[in-house]
This record gives sequence, structure tokens and C-alpha cells, in this order.
Amino acid sequence: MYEREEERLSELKSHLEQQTLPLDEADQMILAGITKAKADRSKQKRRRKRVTWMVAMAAILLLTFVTSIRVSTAFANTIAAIPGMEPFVALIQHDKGLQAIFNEDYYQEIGSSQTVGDVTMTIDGVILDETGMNVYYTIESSKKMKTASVNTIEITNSRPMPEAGISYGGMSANDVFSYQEIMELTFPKRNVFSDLNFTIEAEMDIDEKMVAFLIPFEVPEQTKPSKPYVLNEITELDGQHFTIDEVVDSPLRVAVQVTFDPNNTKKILSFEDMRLVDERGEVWSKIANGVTAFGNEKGKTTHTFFLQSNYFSTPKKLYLQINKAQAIKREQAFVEVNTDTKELLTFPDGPQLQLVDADRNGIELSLSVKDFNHDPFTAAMDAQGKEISISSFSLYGEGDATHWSPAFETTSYTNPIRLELNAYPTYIEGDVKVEVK
Amino acid sequence: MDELEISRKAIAGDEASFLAMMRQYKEDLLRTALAFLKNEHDALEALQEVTVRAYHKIQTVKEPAYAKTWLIRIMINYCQDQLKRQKRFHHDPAIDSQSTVDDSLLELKEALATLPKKEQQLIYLKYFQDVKIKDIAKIENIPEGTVKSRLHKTLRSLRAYFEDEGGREHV
Repeated sequence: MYEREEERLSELKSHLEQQTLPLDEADQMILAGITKAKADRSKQKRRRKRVTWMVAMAAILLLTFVTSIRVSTAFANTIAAIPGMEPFVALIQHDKGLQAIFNEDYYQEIGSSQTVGDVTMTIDGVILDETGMNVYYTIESSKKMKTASVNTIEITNSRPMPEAGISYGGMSANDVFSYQEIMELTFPKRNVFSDLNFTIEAEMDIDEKMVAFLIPFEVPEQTKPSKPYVLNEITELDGQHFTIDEVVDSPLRVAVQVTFDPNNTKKILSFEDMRLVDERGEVWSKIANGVTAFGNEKGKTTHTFFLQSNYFSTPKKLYLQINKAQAIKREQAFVEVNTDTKELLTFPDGPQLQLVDADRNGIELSLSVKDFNHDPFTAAMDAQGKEISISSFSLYGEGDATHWSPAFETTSYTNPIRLELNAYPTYIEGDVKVEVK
Repeated sequence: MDELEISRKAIAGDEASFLAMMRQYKEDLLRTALAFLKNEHDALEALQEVTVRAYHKIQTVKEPAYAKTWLIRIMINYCQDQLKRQKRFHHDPAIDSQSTVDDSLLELKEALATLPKKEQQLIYLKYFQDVKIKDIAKIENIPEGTVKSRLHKTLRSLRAYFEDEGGREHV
């Protein structure tokens, strides 16, 4: 029926077959494609490592807490009255803001669940405010779970979700039938959801099998509004100036926005003891677990630091106080390394910093300070100003020293390379007291 | 190692076999690219991109026997996306014809361009890669009858195109 068309097509086919092909170049393109694909894959791995790193930090802090803070019985009883919350007593106890949330009934019970095979995931409850969302969930199985961990976890809404820092627990199960976990989203910009229907999409690795959940849930009540106090108060610590722009009090955290004076001789990396104090001397200190600050990007002078919330208390007076900060001389706020000659060219004054080992793939530094558990690097820059991503970072203590080893994503860069420091154990002290209310 | 064995190992995640498989089908892949894209340079770029995509997704191939057709479909999809993009950003017919390797392929490109995306793929697999109707049905997960009726419909649209073109030639 269509012989003529078919004939025409076969003519065209023979044209196509007569084409000379660039076969040698084709081989190169295939190899280039494989290299590119592998690079994509290591990028994915890198993201996972970053998450693992956050999880490791959380675990360290959690251990310190469990052994050092006694759980008050009254508070334990409040929590125990909420279904499924007993395991969280320890986690909540160390944060006064979270305690208040439970005492004031701001925690919202959900109870939505889904069963996939032997495993059930239940969204126990949510704390939502303008600065973030904590999701408390339980995983239960009819069989004992030897290992369980989060592969991916995500929350969606009918509107695009705001930008958020996400933290969640790592390995959770160890021969158990059920366990509880928390996923925390922290929004850098305040956000109010117009639609309180969410969906959690999670892939859990349970005993080496992937179990995927998709659970819609509705948060029953709208967020309580944040209370902003605009201060714009210029202050100084040991001659270094900065402005306390504003303090925003929300149920989950207090955000303190600070802008540093670009003319300072020292770069302030973080505040050691920033705290809120009321007229009776009650203190709300730094958040010990989870996201503690935002804004360590290069060249940005405005940073946000988080404190435990005092949203539900009603002090007559409230002050923001700071006495100690990590700071380094502006011209020394980085380390410079030649990874070919294995030389440490520039480093800050203060505790001894040594280059233990170096090659094009990464470096290992030893700092003569015990337990300085900070990740000081975000990226490296080569001699021509090209950014080199850090593919993984490991930290460990050895005797009285702390070892830092960042690994680089690429080996093609021009030495020497420069790594900006976001944490360093040199301090300035002074007395900052700003009236918030 | 025979073709099927290489594909089977590549699907299982063996990198050397993946490379061998890509080399084995590179001629077919380049020809496919040339049937759609305007020049050799674009065809080579396409081959690199298809390698990347295939590397990430090779585990999803169920039957080693369909690995080649699977790769060709990735290539067609990539080419179709590229053409759409080029249309959106810069369409300059003068440059297009200048850089075409062989004018004899222009007719093929034009003929394919008159068809909807799905039908381009169907015609290409059936008449240029000699994929059997039975296999197309399996790959697309549709009944053989549906493939046949779609082929007829597509040939009918091509008839209109060829006749129109033929008519023009005689004028």
C-alpha cells in the first residue's frame, strides 16, 4: 500500500549509510562521556557525605548532652503524656525553647502513616514556625531491623518550598522493632505557608532494602507570628565593630542578625557565648544541636546566629550579651598551601598549625588544640582565582591535636591554593550588652 | 565476547563492558545523530551526552537484546530536544545549510521534521535501524497492532510530504 514511500525511505537510508563517520573522534567522545558521568556521580556522593558529616556532629553533641544533663522529672512527665514522644525527652531537654513549645502545647500532633511491606512510617507530629519545621516520625517493622538509615527525605507543598537547611539523623536502628527520628528544616528567610498540606517523601534503607514512603499530612494550626525587634545598634568587642541589626524571636529559635564592619582589623568568625538574659538573670544560650548559624558565604558581612527560643516567656526586660568571639587578623583569615611542594605558606598566628601531608587530591592539617570540633573550610581557591570544591572533609582528634583533612574535587588547579577559614581557636574578649526589650 | 554478553555485563555495571558496548554501537548512534542534527560536530557532542545519560541509566535496561535500540532511542530524544532548543534560540537557515555535511541528508531531515516526535522515532527505528515491529511493540509496551496502525498513519503523512515535494521538483 505504501510501497513507494517505503522505497523512498530505503533510498534515504542508503544515503545515510554512505556518510563517512568521524569514528576516532567518536571514541574520544565516548571516553569523555564516561568521565563526565563519573564526575556527576562523585558529586552526588559528596552531597551524601556532607549530610553524614552533619549527622556525626549531631551525634557528638548528643552524647555530651546525655551524659552531662539530668532530665527533670516534671518535664519528662509532660512529654510522656504525648503519644510517641518519650524517646525525644533527652533531645528536647537540652533546648529551653523546645521545652517551652511542649509545655505551651505548640507541638502539633499529626498521626498520618503509611505501611509498605513490613514497615510503617508514622508522622507523629510537627513544630512549624516562620523559621523552620521539625518533623517527628516513627519507623516500625514487624521484623527486627538490624540497620536503618535515611537515604533521601524531602517535604513538599503545593507551593515551592522555601530554601532550607536540612538536618536529619543517620543510622537509627540496631536490632529494634521501632525507632523515632527528627527531621529539621531551617529557613534562612522567614516564611509563612498559605497551604498547610504537606507531603513527606522518604526513602529509607532498612536492612539493605530500600523502602519508599509518600505520606501527605496537614498541619492543623497556622504558625504563631515571629516577634522582630529592630535594633540597628552599633557595638564593639575588643575594638572590632559590628551592628546588631535585629533580633527575631520565634517559637523554634531566636535569630540574631549581625553586620560586621568591613574596616575591622580582625574577622569575627563566630560568637562563643552570645546569649539572651532577662531582668531576673535567666539565660537563653546558643543552639547546641542542629543549624546554629547562616551566612558564612564569602564576602558577605551580614550573618545570622541562632539562640534557644524564649518566645513563650514574658520577661520585662531582655538583653543580648556577648563576651567572647572567635576572630583572626583579617590578612590571616586563610591558609595557603602548595600541594606539589607540600608547603604551608600562610597560616594565622596563634595555636600551631602544621601541614601533615598534601597531594593534589587533598591536604591534612594538624592543629595543636584538643577537640576543636569545627569544619573551618567551605571551598578552596587556586592561584588563578578558580574555585576548587571540597568533596569531603574529615575531622579527628589525636592526643592534644585536632586533625582536619579536606579533599578536593579536582586535581587540575594552579598552586598555591588558598582556603578561607570559618573557624579558628583564637579569641577576642569584651563586654557587649544590648537592650532588646 | 558476543554482542549480547557485552550488553549483559554492561547492564550489570561492568565499566569495561559499558565502554565496549558504546564502541560497538557508535556507528549506529552517530548515523542517528546525523539523521536529525545539522552537522558532524553536533553529532559528536550528542554522542558524548548520550554516553553520560546511558552510563547513569544502564541498570534500568531489562533485556540485553534491546540495549542497542535503547541507546538509539536516547539519541533520538536528545536530538529532538536539541532541535527544539535551536529553534527557540537561534534559527538561521543560512547557517544551517552551510554547515550541513551532505545535502542528500537534508531531504531526510526535512521529511522527519514534518512528523510528530513519536512518529519520527517510529519511522527511524523501523526503516533506518530495521527494528522489527514485534520488538518495537515490546519496547514501547504497546500491542503490535497499534504499532502497525501508527506506521500506516505515519507513512500516509509521509506520502503527502513526498508527493508535494515531488510535484515541486517537476515544476
